[in-house]
Amino acid sequence: MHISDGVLSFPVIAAGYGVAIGITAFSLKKTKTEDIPKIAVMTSAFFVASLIHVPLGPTSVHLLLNGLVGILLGWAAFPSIFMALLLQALLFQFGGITSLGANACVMGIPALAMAWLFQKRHRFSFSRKDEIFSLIAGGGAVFLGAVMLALVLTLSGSQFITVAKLAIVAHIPIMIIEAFITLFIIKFLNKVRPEIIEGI
Amino acid sequence: MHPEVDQYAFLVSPIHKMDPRLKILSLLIVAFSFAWLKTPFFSSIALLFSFSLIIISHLPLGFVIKRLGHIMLFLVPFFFFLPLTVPGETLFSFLRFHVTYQGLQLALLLFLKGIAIVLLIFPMLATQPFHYTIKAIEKLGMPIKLVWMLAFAYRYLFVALGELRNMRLNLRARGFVSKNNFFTLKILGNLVGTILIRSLERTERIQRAMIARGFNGKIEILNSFKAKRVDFFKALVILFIGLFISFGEFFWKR
Repeated sequence: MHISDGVLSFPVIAAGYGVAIGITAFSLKKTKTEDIPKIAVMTSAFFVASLIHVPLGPTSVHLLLNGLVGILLGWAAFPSIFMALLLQALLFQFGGITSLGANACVMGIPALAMAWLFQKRHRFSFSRKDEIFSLIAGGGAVFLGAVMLALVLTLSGSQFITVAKLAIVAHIPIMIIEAFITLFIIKFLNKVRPEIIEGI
Repeated sequence: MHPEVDQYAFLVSPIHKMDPRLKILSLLIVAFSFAWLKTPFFSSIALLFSFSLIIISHLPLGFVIKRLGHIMLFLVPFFFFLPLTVPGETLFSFLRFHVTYQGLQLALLLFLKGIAIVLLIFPMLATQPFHYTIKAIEKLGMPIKLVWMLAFAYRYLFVALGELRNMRLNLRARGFVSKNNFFTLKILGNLVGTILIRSLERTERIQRAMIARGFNGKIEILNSFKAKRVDFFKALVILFIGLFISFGEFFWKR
């Protein structure tokens, strides 16, 4: 879920940066300065976690975990993802400088949506709601991300419509894997440090 | 701070000597202007320009080519998808597929443009140590909270990376093999969970240590950058040639 340089059209690049900077500014206002080290260290943890490869049929995919970032960091998830992508672009020279804003939106907006969704679980009273909501948030973040990716590609040029459709289909197995990984991570956190999830 | 990241940051070249702020700003502007390119012809000129900057900056070509693998993985598949999916004049058909000229041209454009932009990143970032880069983007106006997040994330990235390596070794020593099953997902989930909890505990220690040292929410970064006249000249040359290519295309078509 990552668009490289050279693909997006200039208006989409500009709009991507505009939206990303807008949301970042808003969420930084909501973030206390004392919390910055926490967000930063969590950012590096998520960065490293995204290097883990999960076997998928004959190949393997790397984790995205944007649903989990949203659950754990709330509003701060967006700058966290933005900075993780910037760090990736800066450190490894993989590129993606021009498409950075759009990529941050593709990964970050679903994270915020899932953060909102996960907090809504308190309204329900059935048991195992942490598990069910983490399953939905983990898979939902990838699905929304794939839809946003398709949207960004299509806005960039109508020639990309077929590629955009293929991208959504390709993300369906990843969605299932992410849903279950997020579920297992939340279950683990609940076992080891239950106060983390309770407080969200 | 990390040997692999700053591997070629201390070579001597006209690009290495440049003031990081001017270097990053001028190359960034050129990178964005290249994103505007619409023809394969001008994109290949842009590629030539980016490549010549790499030659000037003395970065080893092997290093550059190795790093290009990632973007190739993204751009090369377009050669298979786009000629089949973009409507236009048919070059040739096989089975029921029609390979179109327009699709092939678009794939070529994306490929050349993408590589041209990525090649600019090398003289921009690999020619100074990473903490200079962070300092320079702070001076270029990035909000201090973000700069600080970036610097912290960079610092603890390698700590988390070391942890991941150790845990992988532990898993292997216990005979764990990744397979297509729920057990693998559960183990990997626990692995990520452990990294997160250790990071959280580390954060609590860092926060206490910072408060104990009188942290008041401000970040002081020493500024030792000094832009010389020759730096401005180099930045202007980069901007002039770069923008000449992208604007040249714009007027060529008129």
